[in-house]
Amino acid sequence: MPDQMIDAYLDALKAALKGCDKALIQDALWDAEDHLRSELARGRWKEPGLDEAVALKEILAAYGEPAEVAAAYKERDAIVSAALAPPPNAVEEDEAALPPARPGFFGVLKDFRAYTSLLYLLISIGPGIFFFTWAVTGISLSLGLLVLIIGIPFAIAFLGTVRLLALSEGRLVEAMLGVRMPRRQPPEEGAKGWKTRILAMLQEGRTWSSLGYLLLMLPLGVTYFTIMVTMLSISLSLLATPVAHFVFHQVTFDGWDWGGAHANLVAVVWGFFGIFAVPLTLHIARGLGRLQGRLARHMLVRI
Amino acid sequence: MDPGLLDDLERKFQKELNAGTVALLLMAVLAEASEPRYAYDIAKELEERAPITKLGTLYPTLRSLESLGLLDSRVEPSVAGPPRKYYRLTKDGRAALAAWAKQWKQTSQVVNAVLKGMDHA
Repeated sequence: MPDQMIDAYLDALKAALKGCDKALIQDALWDAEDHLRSELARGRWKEPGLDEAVALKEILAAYGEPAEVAAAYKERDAIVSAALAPPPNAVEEDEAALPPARPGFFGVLKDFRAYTSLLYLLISIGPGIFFFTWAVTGISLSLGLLVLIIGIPFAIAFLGTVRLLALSEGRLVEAMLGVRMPRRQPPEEGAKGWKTRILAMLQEGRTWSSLGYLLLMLPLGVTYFTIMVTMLSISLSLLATPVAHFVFHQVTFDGWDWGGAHANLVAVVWGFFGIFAVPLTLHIARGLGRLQGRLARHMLVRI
Repeated sequence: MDPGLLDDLERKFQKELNAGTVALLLMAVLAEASEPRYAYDIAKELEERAPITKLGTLYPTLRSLESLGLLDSRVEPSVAGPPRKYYRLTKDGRAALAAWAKQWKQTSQVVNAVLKGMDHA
């Protein structure tokens, strides 16, 4: 009975938050569920023969109507967004006056997010390999052991680790790609008993999409790494050509048929290309980062 | 006037008052504690000491204070149940709390002085 009441409350809260950021909804549901269950557990402990339905009614009343609580989340989120947004004057001072959402071709050089995206794309191969290994090992051991009884607890424990890895990847994505992700693990629904808990985990689409994400991160990580290393080396070496040629006299163009063009000219032209290749690399990093952020939101955030 | 409307206005007035004071109270409770505190624990203490708001509105405030850098948090596993989130004041948070507390004292003094005039009239 108390479980249904809590679920009904959470559904109402979710409905009241309809249209909000997914991660905000997940945070709000987490807070509410954690609080309500903690209160109920405290009540049971203080008074063993407690009428839980009556107690929960009081607890819900003290927590507030779903509409009221939802309004508080929306208001506080608006305050934070407003406080953390760049001041309007700062944007106007920029001669380009471009909002950070879409920097100009060279404006990307000043875009902090482009650099963090680049770094994410370069390092994501590391977690990618780890996630893939973990997932494949877990899946094959779970399936293999399923013949024996021990396979079932093993599979359940493995799916638990998948959710933890998904949460940590979410934190990384938020920090480096600037996409808002859940800040907490979804409630474990401690009061419901382990059978319901496990069933809920198995039924929840997010568990499986997280597993898919972990597998997907290997090919994606390798692709990102390849693209970014290639783009970085091409653009940086183009940019370095005139320096190496004029300052260090290190570049020889022997063996290149340039139609008799002077080596100095070749160096200058390459350097000129480099000036465009570097921002292009950052644009690609930014674009891939946004795509990856969108993918992470789709596969790692529940609801 | 419709008594329902009066009630509505009263609630609205309380809500507007709470917009700032709840954050101040949460930070003050955290400043008293020598150790980081669990969110639910903070909510329970405020419920006892300053029952001015629905508990459900305390959590978004805690989160927003964290997003603004006035609090920081760490998640720790608990003996029973889900992992718990512990909050504590940051250096910026302490500075903000000192400034806000001062503002609150000034405001409440001024308001009380005016309200006192009303009582005498």
